[in-house]
Amino acid sequence: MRNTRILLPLVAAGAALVAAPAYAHGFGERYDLPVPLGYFMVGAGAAVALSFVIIGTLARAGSGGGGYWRYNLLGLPWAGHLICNPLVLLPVKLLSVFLLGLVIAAGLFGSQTPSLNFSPTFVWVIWWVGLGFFVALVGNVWALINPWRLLFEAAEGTYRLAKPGSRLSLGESYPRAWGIWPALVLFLLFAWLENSYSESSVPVRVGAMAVTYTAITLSGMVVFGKHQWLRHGEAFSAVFGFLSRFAPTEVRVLGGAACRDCSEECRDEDGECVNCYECFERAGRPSAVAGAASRGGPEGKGRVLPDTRRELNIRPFAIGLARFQSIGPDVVALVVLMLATVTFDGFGATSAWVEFQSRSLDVFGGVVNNTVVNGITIADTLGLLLFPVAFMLLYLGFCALMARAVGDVRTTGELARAFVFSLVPIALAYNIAHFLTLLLVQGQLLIPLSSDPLGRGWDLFGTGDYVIDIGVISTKALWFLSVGAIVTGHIIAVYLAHHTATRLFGDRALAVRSQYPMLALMVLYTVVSLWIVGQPIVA
Amino acid sequence: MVTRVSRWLGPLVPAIIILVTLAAAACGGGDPEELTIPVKVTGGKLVPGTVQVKHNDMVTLKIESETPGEFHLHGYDIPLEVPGGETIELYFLADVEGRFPITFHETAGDDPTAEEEAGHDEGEGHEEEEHSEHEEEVEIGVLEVRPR
Repeated sequence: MRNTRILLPLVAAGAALVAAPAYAHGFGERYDLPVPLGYFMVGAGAAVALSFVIIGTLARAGSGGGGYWRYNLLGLPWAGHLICNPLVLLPVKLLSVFLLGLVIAAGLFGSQTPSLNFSPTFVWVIWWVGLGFFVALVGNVWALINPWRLLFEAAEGTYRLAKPGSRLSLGESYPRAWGIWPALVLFLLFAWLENSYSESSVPVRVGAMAVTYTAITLSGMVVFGKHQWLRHGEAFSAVFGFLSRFAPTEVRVLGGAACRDCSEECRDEDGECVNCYECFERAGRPSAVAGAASRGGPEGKGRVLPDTRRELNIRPFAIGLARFQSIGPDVVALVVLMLATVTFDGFGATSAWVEFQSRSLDVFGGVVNNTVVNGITIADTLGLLLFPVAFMLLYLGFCALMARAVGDVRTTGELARAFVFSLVPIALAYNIAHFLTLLLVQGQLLIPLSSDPLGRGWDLFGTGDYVIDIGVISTKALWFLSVGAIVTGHIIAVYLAHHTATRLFGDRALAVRSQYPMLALMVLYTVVSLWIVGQPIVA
Repeated sequence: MVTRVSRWLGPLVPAIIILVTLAAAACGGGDPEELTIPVKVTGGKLVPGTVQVKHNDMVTLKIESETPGEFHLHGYDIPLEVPGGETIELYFLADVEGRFPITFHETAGDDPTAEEEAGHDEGEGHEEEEHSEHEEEVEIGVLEVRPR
């Protein structure tokens, strides 16, 4: 019975994704000129040459252990005070929850022309692309402003007031074997909506997606508890969490007390508790309860856990991807899925893929041809499923080569787990090259839309008439940035992989030998990325 | 190991320098020009399929179409009613770089919207009807405005 109660709203919202009539046109139209061949050649050449430079230099220098430079912002009296002050955080949190509500309301009740409605632009451009960049380049704000987490906390707080000592969560224990597969499945569905669903920019669909996902996430937190679901089932906490490993900021908890009660073995192989938001929350709780006491300093005077300290650190870019952690195949699968969908997003707009789509249209056109299932969406669905499979096989293949290169001192599986995060910078860089203009050009739609989110002709802030400037970035600057970003991403990836290899094998010669297959894979991935940005974007 | 790396680097560095020079040469400058480009809409395609101009060129497209319809240059957002069998000129300053789709919406009768609206009785609201005008748009070609 309990299951039905959770499932019913999902089914209802899910049905809304298929039912109503609508169309998507003009939204997210891209005007980028493809990167010319010369830039492609230079980029590819630089990637290969610099790879050898890095390996050459690192082969001599070697690389250190797991420690890296950190600077604790909470140690600064004013900054720590500001960052931990609930009065500073509260408006941000309220805004986040408000925006979720607005996405749902505007999607369901606003104008159904995508460019006149707040929801498609906010969800696809500002939130998915823009927040993704922010999380990767600045830090994981998603952990702080995740509206579903905030909603659940508010509900739990209210529930506790009504029934002191009780919990909102049913406290089902999360099945270990599930790992983060639920998050992977949800992310795959999201990626399908983004890349293969023909009506993904139709406002009512976006609204329905938000309602559906809200229901799933809140149910997950009710059934398994907040932290369990955020860790294993909330796709965006997982994905933004991976991206934020690149970011130059981290939260760290020192002292074992907080980690002892953590639901997960959160410490990595260096014994560090980094970016475990459960521990971070627990370690900060006393100062939140004793609000007055904490006024003396962000660390709180009335700390309950005596040897625990919270840090918000600045660290070098990308170093978070080189942390040593025991991860399972589920994490490898989700990272590879992320990498593959990012690439497919660009590849799906090349003329090579459009050719495949039209073949598919020829084959399936006579069989099914409605707005949701037709030749094109079948092709895109196949692509979305086959790309990750091909990526995974390719990755495992290169890991097998690596295992052979080092004389099988490690298994292919171990190597796959150890090196998967080192590929993230290439995907991130490609993502920036691919989506930068979308964010800079289409993102401007937020200016008129914030004045008129429902497309009803309102002008709340006097910006309703703003017309977007499509020439906001010069083409040459964009080409330079795109190729520069991809080559930089490649270099960072090669560096990370080498860093990991040195730690993993302990032996420098073995580490270098292991890196030739990895290098080949990274060059391949980088060149494919460069090739895609060199292709005209075909709708 | 180090020697092997330097053996690789030897030919690569000059190769990169040559490529950079080539790339720079390929994007050579020049002053904006006044261009007149004849294009033809025929059999659902634009001939030539890609119109290439450079940034800030003053462009006159001489459009000839077999059938009447609405010619639409995206990005610049210039719509133009094109009568069948005649040549019509579209004059604009190519002041934004990019690759802009050109679509064509064939109109069979005299009134381009009458047929559309009749076919969309189920349309729920005002916006949907507005929108349906563009539903039959077909991409026939692109305008490429390249940097100087």
